[in-house]
Amino acid sequence: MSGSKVKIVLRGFLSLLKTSRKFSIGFTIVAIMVILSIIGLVKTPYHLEGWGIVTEEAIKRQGLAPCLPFNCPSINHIFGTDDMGRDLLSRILVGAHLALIQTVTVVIISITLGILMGVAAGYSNTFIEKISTYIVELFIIIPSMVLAAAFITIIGRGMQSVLMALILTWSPWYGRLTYILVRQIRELDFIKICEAMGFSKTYIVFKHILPNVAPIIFVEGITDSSSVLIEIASINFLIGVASLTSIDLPDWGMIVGYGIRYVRTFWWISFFPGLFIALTAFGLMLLGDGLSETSSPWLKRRWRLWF
Amino acid sequence: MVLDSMAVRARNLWVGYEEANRILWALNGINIDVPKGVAFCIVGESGSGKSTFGNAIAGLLPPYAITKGCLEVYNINVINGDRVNYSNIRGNIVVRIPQNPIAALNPYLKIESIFFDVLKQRFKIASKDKALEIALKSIRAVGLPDDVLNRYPHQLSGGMSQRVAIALTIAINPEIVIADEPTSNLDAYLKGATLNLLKNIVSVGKTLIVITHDIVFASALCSFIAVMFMGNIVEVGRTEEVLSNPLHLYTKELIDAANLNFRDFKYINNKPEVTLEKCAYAYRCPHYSEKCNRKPDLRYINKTHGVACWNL
Amino acid sequence: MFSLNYIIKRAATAIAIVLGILVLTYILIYLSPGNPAYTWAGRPRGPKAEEAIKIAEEELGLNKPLYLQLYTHINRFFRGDWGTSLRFKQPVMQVVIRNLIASLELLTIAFTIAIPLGIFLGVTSALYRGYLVDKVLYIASSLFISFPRFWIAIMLSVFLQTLGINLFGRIAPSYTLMIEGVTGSHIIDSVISGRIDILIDVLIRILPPAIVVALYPMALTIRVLRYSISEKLHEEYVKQAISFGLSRNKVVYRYALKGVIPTISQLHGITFAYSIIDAATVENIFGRDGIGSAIVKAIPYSDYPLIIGLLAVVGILFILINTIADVIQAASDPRVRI
Repeated sequence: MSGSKVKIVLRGFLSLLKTSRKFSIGFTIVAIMVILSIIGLVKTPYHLEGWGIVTEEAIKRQGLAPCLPFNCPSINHIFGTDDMGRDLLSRILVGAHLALIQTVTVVIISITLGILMGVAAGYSNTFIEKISTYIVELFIIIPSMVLAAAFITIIGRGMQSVLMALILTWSPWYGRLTYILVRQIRELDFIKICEAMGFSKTYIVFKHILPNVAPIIFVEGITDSSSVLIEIASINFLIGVASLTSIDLPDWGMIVGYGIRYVRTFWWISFFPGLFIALTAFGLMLLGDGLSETSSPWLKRRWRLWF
Repeated sequence: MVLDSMAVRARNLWVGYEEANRILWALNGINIDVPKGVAFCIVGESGSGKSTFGNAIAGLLPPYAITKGCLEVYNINVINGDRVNYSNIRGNIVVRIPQNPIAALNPYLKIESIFFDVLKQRFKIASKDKALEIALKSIRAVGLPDDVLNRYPHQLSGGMSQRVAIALTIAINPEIVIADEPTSNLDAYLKGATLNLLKNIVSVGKTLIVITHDIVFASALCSFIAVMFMGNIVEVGRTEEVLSNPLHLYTKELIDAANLNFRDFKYINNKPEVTLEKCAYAYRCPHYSEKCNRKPDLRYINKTHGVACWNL
Repeated sequence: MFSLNYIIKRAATAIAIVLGILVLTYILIYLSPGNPAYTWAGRPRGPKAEEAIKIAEEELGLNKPLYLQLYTHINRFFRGDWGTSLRFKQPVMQVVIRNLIASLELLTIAFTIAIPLGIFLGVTSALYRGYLVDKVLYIASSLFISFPRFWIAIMLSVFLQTLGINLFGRIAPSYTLMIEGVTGSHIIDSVISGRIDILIDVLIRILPPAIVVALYPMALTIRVLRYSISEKLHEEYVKQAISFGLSRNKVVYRYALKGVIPTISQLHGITFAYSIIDAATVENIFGRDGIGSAIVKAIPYSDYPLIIGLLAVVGILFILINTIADVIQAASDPRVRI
């Protein structure tokens, strides 16, 4: 991208920040989460392992008292500790980066695949179109949760199964959206002129169709990212519930899931990660809403029943 | 005008629309009386405020409209300052015939269902047979076949929908009928048919207010005519008088344009902001002078013919 | 209205997709990385592993040519033999149907709460736009969409527990033996048996999870209606109806709302599929049986037959719901002529 284009985008972004309250609040929340995730990657208050074993090395390494399991929220451990004595705040900080990376990966890959599918379906001959629409419909119907469970059984537990299941379920969603958009654009005159002039299909796709389709899908993706985050968290929640041993990976959903067996007494294990999921999803939703509101004019007037 | 019973009386009526940071006034202090039982035309170009006036009488002002002044319909005060109360007149005393008839009928209901709704509301008719009777009468009065009742609006052509709208109006039997640009979507033959239907409405004693930009149609149908420009009424009177002896320069321009008689046709941009104090026509009036900086009132040179200009 | 052709066309598409689901399950079983028999047998370890794998191989018929495998696979599914659940030691079909009915109960109750309430609140929000009601509803609906429902369910269950109300499970333990499981749905069964006290107990227990599951469809309905009814109220035919003097209720419900029904039905076809994730998590929190608990129990045991069975059944269910939603959408708009 040339320098002037970057400036235009930046200026648009800053003006959006100033005018739309939703956008600015959402952006702030997401930015805070990103900062937290960076902190989580670099340095956490406590090392993730704090197995409750008092060793000289542990004291020397951290200079603090070793963590005991099931501490309530206190000054030493702001969010308490979990069943293995690990500090929950540190786990949440590391989990922040997991949550963001997972969501962003799913959304970006789904959008890319979806746009590819949609353009291929919408701008090719009938045969490819029929096949693509069929596959799209098929995969939208498949429930992501059960598919994730299937992948876990085949591939084993890990982020890949969940991510793959979600990508397979969300790409057709964007595929369908792109397909509808491409079909509409295809009927417009300026495309027909290009075709009549003999431009190659690839050229038309990249120069004319994609720039019209991509922004819409992109905004839709940001709005959907909140739902994607919750879906990932829900599936990981179930994995957490199904876990027989304490989980190492500090994914927010898993911590909540694993923590419900203690929820009557040690409620903080499930509460705080859930709170962070809620806040992040809320921020993402505000972000997406603020962005999409500017593209459709909104009647901001107050009015009551006027008849 | 000093006739006894007026259908519509407007006193210093201002109607504006609230925008982002200002108010756009569509009507700037209208003073007019519409007598009962006549066909009254309001002509003007787009943006002159004639539709807003029609909506104000019919009770269809949007919720972000701001009002000042006073408007009385059949002696019922509907607009008083910024308070607006149309509860007694919509569907009772005033009904509007739409400009775009296909879009104006509920696409999810059959025509007869629309009739039932309307009749139940107006006459509290509960039995379907009586309502069907009245509906059939109205449909036949506009010259449509009976089976129209069984159809959906999208199955009718433009002209048929227009006639259905008029049939609905006849069924309601209001005192005032407002026709909002009744001919802009119709071809010449349908214009003639609509003309006859509207004449019938007047002949039974109803007041008809026609809002149009088509002076030819207005002259054929109406007995009174009012010319509006930028939210002000610049001339009003009997049609023969106004058209044979136009006093205001704008009326003269309109008639010339209608006759396709362009002598000095200039392309002019209307500037709405400057017209609250001055005469609205001032910026393109060749007789502009000092006194035109104050807005002229409507002054009557005889019982019915009034003009808003200092020079007459 | 619309002709029978349309229904037939939609049904044909639905059947094609059902076949597609079955082919997909085939791919997941037979073409999974690693030894399919190993996965099918539940990744066994230990002394009896080899036996288990051999039995699985027989069951799957791995030595036959490809097309025959596909044919046998689809045939088996239609006959109802979906293998045996490793964890429950019962035919998969039985386990799946049992859990499916429990989840469907929850989802149905949730949607019967969500849809009418959502429509009413959404219309109110559109009519009083910009006023306090609208602002409150907008914030509330945004919260319910973006907060994870399982987290809300956790807080609700803890709250109820601190109040001393114990509402776990689908039915009080003492009642379990008293009703005949005719349909497997406790609500219907208790009505059939004529035991109203059991019915009340079951309904009370289903209420908190149903409310939580209902939050997402309700919030989405409110947001969509807020936007589309405002749009509709500015359309010509609504203005004309107002000019005819029709009462406010009539104009709003018969004129504006009728136009919005297609959108709503399509929306809920999609939200039903999304809500099953919420339902699955909430079931676990409130200790109910259902698809969620089935998955949770299946994963530690690597109970692959059960998971595949769930996939097929839930997929078929969604196709059914979507087809019905599409048919409603087409039926409610007279302008659609197929």
